[in-house]
Amino acid sequence: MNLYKLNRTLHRDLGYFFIGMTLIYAISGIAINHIKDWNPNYIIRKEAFQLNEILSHNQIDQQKVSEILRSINVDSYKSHYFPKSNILKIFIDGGSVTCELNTGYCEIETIKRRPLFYHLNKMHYNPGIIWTYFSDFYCVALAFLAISGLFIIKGKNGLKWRGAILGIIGVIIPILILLLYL
Amino acid sequence: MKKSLILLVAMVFALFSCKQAEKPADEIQKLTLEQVLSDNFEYKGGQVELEGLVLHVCAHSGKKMFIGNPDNPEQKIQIFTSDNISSFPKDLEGVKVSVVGTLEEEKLDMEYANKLEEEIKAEEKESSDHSCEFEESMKKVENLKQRIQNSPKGYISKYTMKATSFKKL
Repeated sequence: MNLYKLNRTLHRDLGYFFIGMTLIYAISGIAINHIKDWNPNYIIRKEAFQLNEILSHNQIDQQKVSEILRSINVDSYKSHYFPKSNILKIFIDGGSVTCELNTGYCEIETIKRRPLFYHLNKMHYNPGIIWTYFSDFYCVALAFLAISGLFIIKGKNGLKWRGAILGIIGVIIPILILLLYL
Repeated sequence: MKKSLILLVAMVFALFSCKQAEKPADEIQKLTLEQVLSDNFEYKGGQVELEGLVLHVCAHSGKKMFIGNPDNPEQKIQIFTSDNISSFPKDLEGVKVSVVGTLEEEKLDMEYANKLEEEIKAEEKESSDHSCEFEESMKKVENLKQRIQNSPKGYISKYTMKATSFKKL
């Protein structure tokens, strides 16, 4: 059996087979890497508004909550509660309204799933046991792709020169980052 | 070529056919938030069921949420996902749910309370203005210390739950 040919065939076929997985992890990887800068899963919008009157905790009942929601044209009430005695939180479909009763300052927060990213990130976060097996399979295949890739081309463009130089640089960079910055 | 394709297809089939043997369901103990959050509560293991309003779902990972009693904001418990649940959807917020899972205990002793107090004081020192939040936090620490002192165990148990399933009520 020609090992070089088998190596090339497996490298090629696994590469084709895992195109989807590689894109899932690549795109969501960038999204989650920058989690400090944005919310990769949801688009969250906040808008402030002012109540017409200062209310106390005791004055808030179902009717008052409905009035507040009507004043901002929202009719999708779910429930409400008081996280603190002077804070009213009303849950609505796709978000919530939070009011400081002693100042009348309110904020409506709307939350929408970020298209594409929500589902890609969900996959990235390891959503269940079947996915664990499949992504383990992918990780093993990725390791195989990395090693088999070294033996695809013979000669000076392979491990004898170009492949060796680029491979060594690619290993040194993460080691340097680890030693100098982490 | 054909061999490698057959190999790949066989591996995928093997992967999806390995269904886990189903464990017999443990008896589920139905508890209230009040019971679990009481200082006298002792968890003896096994699956428990809790009901509450979803107060918050982590928007970044969806791996944790708080459920609580809407009539008493102090009565809330943090719920984490397990292998059975990928994430909690954000639209669960404001919905009454029933969650089944196991409890995990964190022991809050006097050393913990003292450390917490020091941290709050250090934070207050760094900030330029005296905040009402500082006073509220200090009151909470004092309250915690008193509960620890009164506890025969010498510590207060703080429980979180690892959820195996949940349903909207």
